[in-house]
Amino acid sequence: MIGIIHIFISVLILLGVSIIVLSNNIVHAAYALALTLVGVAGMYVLMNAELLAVVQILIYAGGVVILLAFGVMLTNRLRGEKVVTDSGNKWIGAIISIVIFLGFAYLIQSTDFGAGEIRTPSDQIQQIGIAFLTKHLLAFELIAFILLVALVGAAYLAKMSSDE
Amino acid sequence: MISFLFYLAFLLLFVIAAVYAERKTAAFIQSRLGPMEAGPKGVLQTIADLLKMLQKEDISATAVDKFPFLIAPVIVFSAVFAGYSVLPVNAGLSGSTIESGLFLLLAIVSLDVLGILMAGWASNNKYSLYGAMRSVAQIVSYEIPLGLSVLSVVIITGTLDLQKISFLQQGNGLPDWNIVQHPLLIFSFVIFFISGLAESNRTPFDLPESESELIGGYHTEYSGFRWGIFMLSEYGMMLLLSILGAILFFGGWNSPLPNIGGLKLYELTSGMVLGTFWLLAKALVLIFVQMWLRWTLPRLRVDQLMSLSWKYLTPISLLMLFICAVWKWWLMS
Amino acid sequence: MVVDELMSYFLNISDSIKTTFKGMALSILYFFNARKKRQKKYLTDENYHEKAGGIFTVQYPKESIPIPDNGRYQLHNEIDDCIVCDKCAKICPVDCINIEPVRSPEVFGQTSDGTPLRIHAAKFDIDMSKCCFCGLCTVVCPTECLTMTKEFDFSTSDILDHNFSFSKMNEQEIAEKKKAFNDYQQQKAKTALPAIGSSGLASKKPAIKPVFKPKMPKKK
Repeated sequence: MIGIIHIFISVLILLGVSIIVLSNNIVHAAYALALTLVGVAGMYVLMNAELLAVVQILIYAGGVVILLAFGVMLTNRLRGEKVVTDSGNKWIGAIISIVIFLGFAYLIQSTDFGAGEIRTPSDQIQQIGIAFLTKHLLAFELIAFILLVALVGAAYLAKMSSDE
Repeated sequence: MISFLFYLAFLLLFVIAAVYAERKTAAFIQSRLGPMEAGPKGVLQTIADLLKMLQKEDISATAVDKFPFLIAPVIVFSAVFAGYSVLPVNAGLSGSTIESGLFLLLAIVSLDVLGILMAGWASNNKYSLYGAMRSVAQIVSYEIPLGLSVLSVVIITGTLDLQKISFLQQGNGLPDWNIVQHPLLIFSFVIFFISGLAESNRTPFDLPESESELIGGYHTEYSGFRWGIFMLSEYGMMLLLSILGAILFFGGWNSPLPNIGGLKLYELTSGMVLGTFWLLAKALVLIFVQMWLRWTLPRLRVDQLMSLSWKYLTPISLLMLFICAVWKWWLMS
Repeated sequence: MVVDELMSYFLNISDSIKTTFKGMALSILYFFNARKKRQKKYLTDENYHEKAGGIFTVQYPKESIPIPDNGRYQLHNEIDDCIVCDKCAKICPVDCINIEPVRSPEVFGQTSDGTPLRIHAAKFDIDMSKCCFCGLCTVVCPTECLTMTKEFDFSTSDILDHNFSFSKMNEQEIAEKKKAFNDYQQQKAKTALPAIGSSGLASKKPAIKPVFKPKMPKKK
């Protein structure tokens, strides 16, 4: 059962990715990106990383992609241009990506991740929370600080444009 | 799995009843009678409308972006309905038992924006695109106060599992409800309810589909069954948020009747069937409040909508989050 | 400055809460008032303009608001009282009354007010789809047989059905009466015409042109 779901999700991800690469329509590519990201979230669920899957859906599929699609639609519709792009450098791109893929495949195969012992932690969220506030406190605080700076910057930019 | 199927069946029945209730509520508030012809007092009106709607041609205009146009309603509905997967039905029947249940619900429900954006864009119609743009701006903005107000409950209860939140309110009826036990949550509930209205595109926040300015907004170009799916998802969202509100603040499937001395009213009115009844009854009361609000308040302007979310609800819900944390700390110590 | 802004911020919050609650209270009041029906009232009633709670709708074909007896809606002609004077057809501003008279050799009856009947109405049609409900025809009617009734719902699916026919005579009767009058005319012509012809006045002296010109106000 898990195997079938795994294959299904893999096909979904591959389908999404190939649409992104092959489609000439940016908006379709954005939708395909959402499909891919939801598929990746499915993969996370299969790997017992529930929280990561939810965060993936919330931030990537629900946030980033929508912002992206929103941006593409607004800019193109306002200028009245067609939302069509062309793909160039097909051969070089294909060669580079195959090389990168092979490199990753080799690295992943040769690295020992300590897999095999699949645990199902019952208090995942608690563990992540404790880790954030003890082991990784500095990183956590830094991220919070950067986000705050981004927020203040966005507010300032918005205020500037409204003053003009 | 069973809870999912239960909610699917209940949702379909609910939509038929709710459309009728909505029209009757509107009529009574406006001193009218509402539908009266089909069946006694017009109770069969929605069924008649439904049958008519199913026979309609599935129109898609020549200039639409075919594939996104066709699947957009399905995406909206599946995003909304996926939220039901974590809702418990009663003490014995919980939804999906994943640990981050509430978090998943909020995350996955926000995906319906994608379907709305798709529908608005693919319709190739300026009103639809306006509706979709408004909808995205609105839903993305109101997700923040919604999430923050839910977080205040999470801080106090200490769990993301909706079934555990329900169990925490078990015991003695009304005095054990979160909103009575922790009166601070009244403010959180108000923010939750307002943001929930905005999330489900209900009046006074129905700018994305405002019939009078955008002729239906993102679903202008849809007809027949696909339009029906949009309608179904709107009502599905209403019901989802009402059930969520009932679980988070009003005791979930717990009976509201307290034990008074030797009279074990709480025990008498609990159980599988009665628990389900209490949960749905609480949700339906909240649905009525939504309808009541819809026929009372006029639609907000876009700038009012944004300032309500960013200048009022978000800061207040942040403050409430902080106060709830202090309250929790005070309760613990 | 900052204090003012802060004040207006909290004032906005309290205002919106207050106004929302007020609106909600009002609409729930109407919701509960919908249990009862609004009493039917005449315009002449004392409290007609008072704010009435309860459901306002009148489910028309099943129930209706009473119409005053002097309502001016559908026209009705009491054909037995009609002397077929054609005044109504002449005054009608939209020509909706169509009359075909058949004269009778002698007085054949009386109306209810005693006026002798001399003319048969072979056709007395009123096309209500043309009628503008001015009521002029009822004013000029000398025997008051043409009246406006309070019947207002005469909608039909075919516009020709709006033509109301009031004549009671059938084809045979009309032909009979026409024949009777023609016979009478011929009879009269045989006996009376030579007398007129012998005097020869009619052909020699033209009749004085009748002067019906209305007095026009003189120009200044």
